[in-house]
Amino acid sequence: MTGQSTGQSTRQSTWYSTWYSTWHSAWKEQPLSFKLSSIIVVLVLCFGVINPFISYDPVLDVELSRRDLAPSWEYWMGTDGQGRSVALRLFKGIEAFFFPGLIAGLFAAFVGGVLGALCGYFGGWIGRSLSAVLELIDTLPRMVFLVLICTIFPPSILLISIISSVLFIPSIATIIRRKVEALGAEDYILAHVAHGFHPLKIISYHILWLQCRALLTRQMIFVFSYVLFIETALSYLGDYGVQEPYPSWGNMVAQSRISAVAWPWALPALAIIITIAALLAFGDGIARREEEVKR
Amino acid sequence: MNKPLLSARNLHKVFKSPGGKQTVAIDQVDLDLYTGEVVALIGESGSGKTTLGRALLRLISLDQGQVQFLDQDLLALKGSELRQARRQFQMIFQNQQANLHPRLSVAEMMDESLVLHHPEQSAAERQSMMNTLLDQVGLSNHHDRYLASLSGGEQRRVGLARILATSPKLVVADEPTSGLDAAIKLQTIELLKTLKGESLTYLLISHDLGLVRRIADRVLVMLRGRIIEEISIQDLGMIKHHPYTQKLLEASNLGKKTDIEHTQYKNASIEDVRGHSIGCHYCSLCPLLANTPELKDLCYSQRPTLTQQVACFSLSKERELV
Repeated sequence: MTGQSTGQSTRQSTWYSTWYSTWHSAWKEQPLSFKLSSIIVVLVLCFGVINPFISYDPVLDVELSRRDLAPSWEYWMGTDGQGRSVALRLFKGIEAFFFPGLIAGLFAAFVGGVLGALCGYFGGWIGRSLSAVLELIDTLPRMVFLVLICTIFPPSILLISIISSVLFIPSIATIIRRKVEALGAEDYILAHVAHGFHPLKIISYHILWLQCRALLTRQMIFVFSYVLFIETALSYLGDYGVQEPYPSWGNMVAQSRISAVAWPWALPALAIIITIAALLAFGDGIARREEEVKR
Repeated sequence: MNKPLLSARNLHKVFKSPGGKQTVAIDQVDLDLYTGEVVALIGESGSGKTTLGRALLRLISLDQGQVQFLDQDLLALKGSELRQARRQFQMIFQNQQANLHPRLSVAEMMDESLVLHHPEQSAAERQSMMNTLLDQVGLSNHHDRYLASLSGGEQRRVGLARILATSPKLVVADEPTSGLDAAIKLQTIELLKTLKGESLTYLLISHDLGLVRRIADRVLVMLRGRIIEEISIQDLGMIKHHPYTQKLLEASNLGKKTDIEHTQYKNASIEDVRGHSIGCHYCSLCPLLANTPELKDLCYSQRPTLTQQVACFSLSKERELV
């Protein structure tokens, strides 16, 4: 690049090369649980992204003559009590939580991260009163509060996702605030001030991005899995979630729980459990990898 | 003499702990640093050296005082002006790890500093400047290393390269050799000397009188937040010093043994200086009072200021007569 033959002139590390090396070595060194969970997470991610482009028609196609069919080549997860393909409904059911969960996770991580960093870095009475408000929100029982909101306002999945992300902002902000306070006492952050960096650059890059992104990623995934959980729970309960005939993993279980055969309710229930477990394991794996000391 | 690079007047800093206890960290300090000189600040732990160094660079707020750096009133600078000015004065932190970010490689950190301080440069120019700087500190093949895999000496040298990227006029070096083994210490001293050149000014904060001997031009001795003696390097250990300075010199085998017979002084360790609320900080241990009992009332009731380069009633009088 500069004509110097010292061999390091190609060392221009960019964000994508950093991420690639992170992922590559994460894959090689991580335990089996991480590998399995990341396969599931990637599957859910792909399905979630292509979902909106696929028509609802075959999912809603009721045909009582083929009800409760066992898994076969044509319906490889069988059919439910109304003759609809379980596999297709399971796939389409991802739509019910995917984008709401994504929005909630990103929003909670972003707002929680920014608030936590500001409270931790500047402190003072603004920081203290802000954390008092956040702690107040944190005392609300999440599920009860969500049901309450749904009875007051017309329930929609967007409302549910925004409220659940707001409910997670305090805990994320508190985690980040503690971390930032601990880092603020470290000499190297003072050294960055002395070097002449802008305080906003120090907060956003040196503290949040470099030191807290593992925490934030884990929290984001946690909020995503919480939205999955709350969506399926509300849909199962019936009144506030996704309504029949549109599929959600929750209402699939609810619909078929008196079914004569197992697959229409067992498969979505299994999908809920496996997906949530995989998400949490995946988040932990990423965070563990990110928190390792760099050498 | 020409105009000082940095001139500080009447600095005060008191730390208040939550229990209401007050610790005077900097007490009526006046200080001038001239371009190109190396000034050493010595004194025991807790005497306020680090606080003074940091306060001069606007890393700690001061309760009182003025600091002029070149033609700027340093304490009045805010926001972007202050960040602009920071380019000209840099600090080497006592904790060598503090100079580096644990999650960035050496190359990433250097690049970051160069982007900050030379935004007009292209990526290729930055790359070649980075190579030059790392060569200068002897780390030409350490681009991909992280903090955790660098030795203490290497960490310090990366910190130095980073500081040099800003082409500073003043460097405050807080214990630049602490925690290094003898060989690397020597290397670091040589490096500091080579990098100094003509126009760089160092304020060297150190316990290490060996280091001070090697590179300093002038020595300031600090006791309980006050500068109690100013010594040019030729005089160090050669003249009659403040008893506290004498004690420091003896502790590192640099001062000639004194013929002081004062038992309290002899048995006192350096940490025994309690600091009196009024009067000279050293009055209860002072061996000089034995010879000049007529000064006793004065020493116990008034704090001496720096006259004839020493803050001691008895010594300044003596020096005045000579």
